[in-house]
Amino acid sequence: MNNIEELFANQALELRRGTIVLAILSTLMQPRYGYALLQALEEAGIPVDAGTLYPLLRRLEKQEVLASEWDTSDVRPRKYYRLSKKGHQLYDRLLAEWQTTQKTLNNMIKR
Amino acid sequence: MELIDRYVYAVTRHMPKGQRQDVAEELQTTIQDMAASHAKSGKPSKEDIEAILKQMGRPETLALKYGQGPMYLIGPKWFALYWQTLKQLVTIVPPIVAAVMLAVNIAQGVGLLGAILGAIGLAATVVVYIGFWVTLIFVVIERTGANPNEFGGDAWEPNALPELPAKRQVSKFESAVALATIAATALFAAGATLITVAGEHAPILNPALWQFWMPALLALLAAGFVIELCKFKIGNWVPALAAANVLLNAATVIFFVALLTTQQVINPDFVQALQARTNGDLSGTELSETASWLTGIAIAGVIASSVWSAGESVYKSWRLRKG
Repeated sequence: MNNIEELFANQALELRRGTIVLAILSTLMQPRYGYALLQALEEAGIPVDAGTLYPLLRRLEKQEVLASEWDTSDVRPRKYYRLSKKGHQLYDRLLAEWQTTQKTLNNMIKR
Repeated sequence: MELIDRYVYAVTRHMPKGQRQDVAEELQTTIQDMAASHAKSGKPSKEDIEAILKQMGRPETLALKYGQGPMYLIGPKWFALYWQTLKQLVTIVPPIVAAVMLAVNIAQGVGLLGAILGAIGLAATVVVYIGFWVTLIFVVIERTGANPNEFGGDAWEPNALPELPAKRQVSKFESAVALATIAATALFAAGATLITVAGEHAPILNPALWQFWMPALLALLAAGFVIELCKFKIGNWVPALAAANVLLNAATVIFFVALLTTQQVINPDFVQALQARTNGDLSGTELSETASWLTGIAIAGVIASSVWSAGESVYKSWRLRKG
């Protein structure tokens, strides 16, 4: 498990894992249904596995970070996700944390 | 689209009722949407659907991800303590069990090879049992949400750190010799009470001792074995170790004095056979005088070595605290 490809892949995975919730929260500032969220993330350059995203959305909903509604207007009923009040709070704090981390890391790297 | 239905069913069938329908409907729509964009134009073909389903992964795995629990048995929080406990138990218990089994086998007249195989077999079984139960217990603990720190899992004594090889009070040679002596004593005691030397008619030492004294001796030796292991591992006479050693020596003295003064250690059958062979040249009183002599010497020897061992451990423990 020592060649550079594997080492990089593992660390890159850790980075993605660390930031995925922030990405989801920011994308859901505008309510979307699951598949649209998946596409938005992919277009933004953050590809997520459908098998990872949907259980994660459900978990966030259980933690009351997200709220959902069924939209039955279309031929196919679709589940819409949006940020709950707790979700907004979490997003604000996570965003601040992210910006602090960025600044700190950048400062460190510049030296 | 039956394929999609079957996939969704496979994922959701073991889910709790409340969750099932919600997940199923969402999954249905998602897969259809994904298949539609995969198709690029028109209605998604069977190949499109199959490609998407493959991308979603095994239904059982997806169902697991929807599940609540952690996807491991023992996590990082408890693993260190678990592994340490497992290692300690597996190194201490099976050898003791094997030794006892060996002695019991010999006592029951099983041949030496059979006795050894039986002992090894039992030790292997014990290892499996220990592995299973320790693992099971830690799997349960992992799921209670408790913290190892609260149970002193992180507590350790700097004094009990193993010494650098040059600085150890207890040399590895000393430990090896002690462990070998204990093993040899156990085998000798077992053998002498049960095996009839070629040409004689009975074992030298009294088999009746197996009713209580032999098991007691084996227990004493087992305790000594454990103490030797701790001695080896820590390398220095920490107070707890010295105290244990003193207790063990005291118990040994009491045991041997009681044994030698109240019990017929030499097998009466052996004595009889000896007398019969020498045609009565050996009188009863001569034999009992010799026996008393031997008993006295044995008791003195046991007391001397026990006092020495206890004294040495206490002195070295004192030196340890001073320096």
